[in-house]
Amino acid sequence: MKKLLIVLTFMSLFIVGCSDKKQSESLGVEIEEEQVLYTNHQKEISNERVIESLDVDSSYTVNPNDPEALLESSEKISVVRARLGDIFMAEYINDSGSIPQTPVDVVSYEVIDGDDVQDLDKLYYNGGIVNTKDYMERMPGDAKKAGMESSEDTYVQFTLDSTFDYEVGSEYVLIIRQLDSGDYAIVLDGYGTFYSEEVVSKQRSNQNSRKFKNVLNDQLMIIND
Amino acid sequence: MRYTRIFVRSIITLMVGVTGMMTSLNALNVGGERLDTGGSLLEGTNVTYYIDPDCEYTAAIPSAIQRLMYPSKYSNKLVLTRTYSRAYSKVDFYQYSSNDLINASTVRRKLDTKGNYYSLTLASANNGTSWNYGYIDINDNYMAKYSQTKRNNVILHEILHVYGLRDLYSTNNRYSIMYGSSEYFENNREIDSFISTVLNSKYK
Repeated sequence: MKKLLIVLTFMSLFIVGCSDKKQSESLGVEIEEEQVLYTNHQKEISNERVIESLDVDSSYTVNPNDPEALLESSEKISVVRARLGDIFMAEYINDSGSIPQTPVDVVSYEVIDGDDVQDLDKLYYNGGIVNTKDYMERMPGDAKKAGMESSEDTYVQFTLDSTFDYEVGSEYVLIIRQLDSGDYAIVLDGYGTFYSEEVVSKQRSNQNSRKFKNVLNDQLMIIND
Repeated sequence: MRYTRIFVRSIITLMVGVTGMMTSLNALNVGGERLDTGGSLLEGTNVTYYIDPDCEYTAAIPSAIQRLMYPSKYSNKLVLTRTYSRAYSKVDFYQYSSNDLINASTVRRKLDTKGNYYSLTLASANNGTSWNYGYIDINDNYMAKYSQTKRNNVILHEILHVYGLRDLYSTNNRYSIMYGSSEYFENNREIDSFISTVLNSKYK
């Protein structure tokens, strides 16, 4: 009888273990399916096709490490909590010099502070991977000097000290500005990007305020309600 | 007597070594920040610079270069002469216009063995790799509204990137020409002793 009980116990444990495994496997598939909903197209480019990787040093008009300065850096500034979708190849828009802009889809958003934002479905940030042909059209003199050959299969990567590796499908709190074209851009990229979760402060404050931590330098952005 | 001489020599050698190390550390670190990328502009002492025909800063650029070549307090061996041929220039200037909060940007580029230019990432510059030339893209949207002094400061700041200096962001360094934002650039920012030490160690 004892032996039978032991065997039954082992069998039931084995069955439970199997069903758990199946459940986690099926969960894994679900998670995977959710992840592939959005694509970072720049990460699909193999290293061999990126013929140049350019690091850019910039002089900023404001202190990039000061969120308050970023909030006051332009007239059309808003703060939004946004979930990002697909990240596309960088491109040259009217409002850029030699540094290309990366477009990213906005899946959903809410305005936290600043001007109202209508129909925000796309954001730009500085840098990223751009087609060699596009670079040659934007900077023909330098491209010629560099001996570059026009190709749609090769790319140039731009990295700035403000560059942040955004995750598709993730939610961030972003300081954004409106471009002359009406589109929106993230203010100085990573310097204007904050973790979505609010920082809970132990200090009591008379004002109701929300705090968000920057993704690059841990600086706090304080939004007063 | 012989041992005393050896002892004195050893002490002197040690002191010279420590002084040299301190100078080197000072050159690299200013207020806790690294100033020197570690690399340098190849054959960068006596070079030519090129201004793209679309770049309007034809007065501010030479003015900033004068301040680089002839600082008020510290000397260096740098010589920059304007050329109208882009092919062999070492510092190139371009212009664009945007409200991207960037005054100007610098890219350093490296020549590969086949004779083509390839970029230099900051990581490789920090490892001491040298580069062949750099280009500076000036944002007219902001620079056009600045005072002459502020323009000169921004351009000098960018030229110093081509020579291998890094941005400083600590508020302790806010009055340095290598401070990363231009909010304190209304007054003339000179080549200070730290920058001069770096330039003189790289370009002899």
